[in-house]
Amino acid sequence: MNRIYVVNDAIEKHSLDGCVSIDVVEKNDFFSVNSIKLHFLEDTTIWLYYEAKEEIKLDIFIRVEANVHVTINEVRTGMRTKVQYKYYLDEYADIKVNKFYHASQVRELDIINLNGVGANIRTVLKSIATGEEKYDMMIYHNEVQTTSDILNHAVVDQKGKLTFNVTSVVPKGKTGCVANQMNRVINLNDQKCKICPNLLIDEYDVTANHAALIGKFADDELFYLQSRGLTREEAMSLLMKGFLCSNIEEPELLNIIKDSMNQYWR
Amino acid sequence: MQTLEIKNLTVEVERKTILNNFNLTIKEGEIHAIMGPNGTGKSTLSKVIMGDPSYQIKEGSITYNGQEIQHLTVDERSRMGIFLGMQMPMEIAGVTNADFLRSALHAKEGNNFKLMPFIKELDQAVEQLQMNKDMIHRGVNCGFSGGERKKNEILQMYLLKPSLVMLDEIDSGLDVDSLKIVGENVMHYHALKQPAILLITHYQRLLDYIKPDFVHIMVDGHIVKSGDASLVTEIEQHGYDHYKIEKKKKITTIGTCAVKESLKHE
Repeated sequence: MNRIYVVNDAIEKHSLDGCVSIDVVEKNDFFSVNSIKLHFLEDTTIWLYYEAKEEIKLDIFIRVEANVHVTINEVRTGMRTKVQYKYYLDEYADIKVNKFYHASQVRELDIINLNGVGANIRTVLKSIATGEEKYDMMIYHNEVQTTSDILNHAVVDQKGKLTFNVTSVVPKGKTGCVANQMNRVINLNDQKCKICPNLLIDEYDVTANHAALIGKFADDELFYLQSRGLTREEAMSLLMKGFLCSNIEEPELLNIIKDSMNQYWR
Repeated sequence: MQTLEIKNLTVEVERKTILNNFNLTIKEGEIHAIMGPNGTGKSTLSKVIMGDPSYQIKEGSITYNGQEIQHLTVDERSRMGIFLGMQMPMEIAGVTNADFLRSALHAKEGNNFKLMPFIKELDQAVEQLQMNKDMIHRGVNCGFSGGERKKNEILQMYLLKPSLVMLDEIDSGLDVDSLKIVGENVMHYHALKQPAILLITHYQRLLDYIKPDFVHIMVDGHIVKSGDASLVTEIEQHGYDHYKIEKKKKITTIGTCAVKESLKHE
């Protein structure tokens, strides 16, 4: 299994299986941020761990070759992180991205280029937001029959404030594309959160869905759980667990999310 | 003896009266069936007994085991032994059935909760209800059919061991075979623990398996007629309209001249 650890400016690579080429460009006089170039040549899984003891600024370029299936699992903890991703997917490339963030400040830009016919991306983001977080995601369906499934879930607590700007673009002539996005924020405080789900579609033959929801847990859900003997706090905690753990299949990531929740809502 | 006693209960939701001067007493081991047309307040009754905060009690009292319960929270009532099998059980993604049941039992039994007996009992109940074993490791009610959801409610009943069981339209969404399984299991639990049972149903078919000691017909928020199981045959013959008319006739005997006048013109 491939693992990359980023602790502030230090980048470490471990257990590389040869299915991915990793090129690290450290910041210099001209570029103020570190960058990592990941070039996936064969099917593989990679883990990215960020621990921002102070601040992390990073650019990541991800290229997936034709017919290659990749899973990226990412865990982000600590203080401030500012990360920019650029994805380039070739013909029938398939990528699953599972992310869990529990950092005090996050700023992220994702630019996803589905450049090859039948390229497919599925991203699942789970975040416990206690500070300001802003996510801008642009998904460009540059070829026919490309698919994007974007799921963003965040629980906002303490001084947390969060914005999801998610824009899916399907130009004219790019037929048979599927563009789905689902954004949900559970607000445990009274701070302002914002979701802008944009679908910019210039083609008829497209399946596109979007959903955006900001709010508390439903009273009906709480009533159901409480009617089985759980206190309101226990019911909330169980719903939170469900919310943050749903759609995550990777056991190691699930354990990290559960541990993080247990430490936070002890 | 454990007794549920509802006296002169009037309940409102959004300024609309749903239950109107409602009276009912259920003793330990008794099975009561409440039948009535749609929108007459049957489900409201069960939710009010369970403590759903969406409903406001304007008048009257609910007593269980000699203690007034209308000021208790939903979970406190559940821990007293009150259980509501719901008409539309909630879906909770990300929380497995087993996790949910374990949390519920832990909440009820505290430090007395033992994992091994729980697993044994769970396996036994799953087998008895002829449920698929995978269902206990799936999200609560996620992707369950109508019948599976109802069986899941009965599974929870078995494990929580309530002394007052309310089943709100537990027959809806069940095929003939599942109806039989659910009915037989409710009777099995009744034989085992002698709980008070309050059944809410539209149809006689459930009562082929669960034999009520008392049948009540509810119209416009209160009971208009009570009797033994033979009342069900009467309902089958005459339908509910018959009782609506009977109720109106009753008003003429006690009502004002204006009411009598209005009925003359009907």
